[in-house]
Amino acid sequence: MAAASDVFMPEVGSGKLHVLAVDDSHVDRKVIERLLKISSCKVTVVESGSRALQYLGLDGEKSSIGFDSVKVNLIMTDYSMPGMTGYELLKKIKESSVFREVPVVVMSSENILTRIDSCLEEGAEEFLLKPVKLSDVKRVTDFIMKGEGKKGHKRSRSDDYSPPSSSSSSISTAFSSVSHPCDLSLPASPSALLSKKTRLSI
Amino acid sequence: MCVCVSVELRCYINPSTPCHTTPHCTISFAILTTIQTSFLFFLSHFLIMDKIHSHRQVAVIKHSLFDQGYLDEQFIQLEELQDDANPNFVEEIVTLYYRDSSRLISNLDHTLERNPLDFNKLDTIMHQFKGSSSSIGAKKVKAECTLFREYCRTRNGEGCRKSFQQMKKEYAILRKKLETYFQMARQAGPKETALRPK
Repeated sequence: MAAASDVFMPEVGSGKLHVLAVDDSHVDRKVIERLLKISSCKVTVVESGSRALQYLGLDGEKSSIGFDSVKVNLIMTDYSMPGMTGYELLKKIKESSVFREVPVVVMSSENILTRIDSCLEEGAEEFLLKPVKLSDVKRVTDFIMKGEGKKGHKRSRSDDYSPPSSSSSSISTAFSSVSHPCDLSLPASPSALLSKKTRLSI
Repeated sequence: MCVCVSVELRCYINPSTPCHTTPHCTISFAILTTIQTSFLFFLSHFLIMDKIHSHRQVAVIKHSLFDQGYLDEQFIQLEELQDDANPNFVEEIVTLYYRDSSRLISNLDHTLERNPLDFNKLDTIMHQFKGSSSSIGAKKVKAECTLFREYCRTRNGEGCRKSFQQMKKEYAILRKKLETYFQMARQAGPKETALRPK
């Protein structure tokens, strides 16, 4: 889709990813902004989901005709926010024809398995536990940069349930990078979803 | 010291004779130079040692903050984000934290005055406070927040109140310690100037 790929590719020549960060906490906004700047990204920070939609032009205020979509390569959003949660924002982004290809990373201070699952199922690239570290951000941005190179593999729900193949290696990278000391509680591989499906079908 | 020596030197200078031909003048000048050089040598060493001492003091304070559990790894993570262009990043973040915290504590105070208690609201506010405390590495404060939220979960009003008081205490202690730490760090100045060889 021409529109989506325009949005997905970084600015020609600048080589920098443009990241939109969404968080209601002032402290966290400042931290994530610094983390992203150190990781050589251009950063736009907003304080709520509705502001984020406004920025992306998805708030229904502007007509899609003649509106130049802002170019964003990655969206990082907090989960628990007043008004619109990160999950709701994620859904709206994935529903948008223009921005659905933009990777979305959800951040949360709470390690709740159902929350992580629902975000990943809704299409989140990754789920990061707060407080977010520089290594987390670098890993995510590196992954996105590499993804720019192997664009063409369009990730869809059906991929998650297919038997492991070479194309699903990028998915397993995403899943395996859910970072938390209690990683044991979350098996980090596509087979986790597979086994869930098999268990349910028995 | 310099004054005494120059007075001594002046005693040997006879206006009628050129200074450099007087043997006494030459010797006194040599003594003066040696004394001045030694003085400057010790002075600069003293200043460097003082700087090193100040930096050591800052390190001691920092160590105790970690040893006594006031701060955790996240604080170090933030310090690593500082550089020459952003030398006060941590202090800026902590200042933001104080501002947010004052607002949230005030909010909690008001909400705890209500009867009956709105545990959901209390939990939501405390969730925010816990989040920002966690982001700066405020370990003890964060632990109290967790306890408070547990009391909210079990609808224990008395527990909430007690835990809130304790949390405010921890917050006040941490704030005081951090203020001292940043003040000393500012006085000690950037580390490089203390250790750079002249």
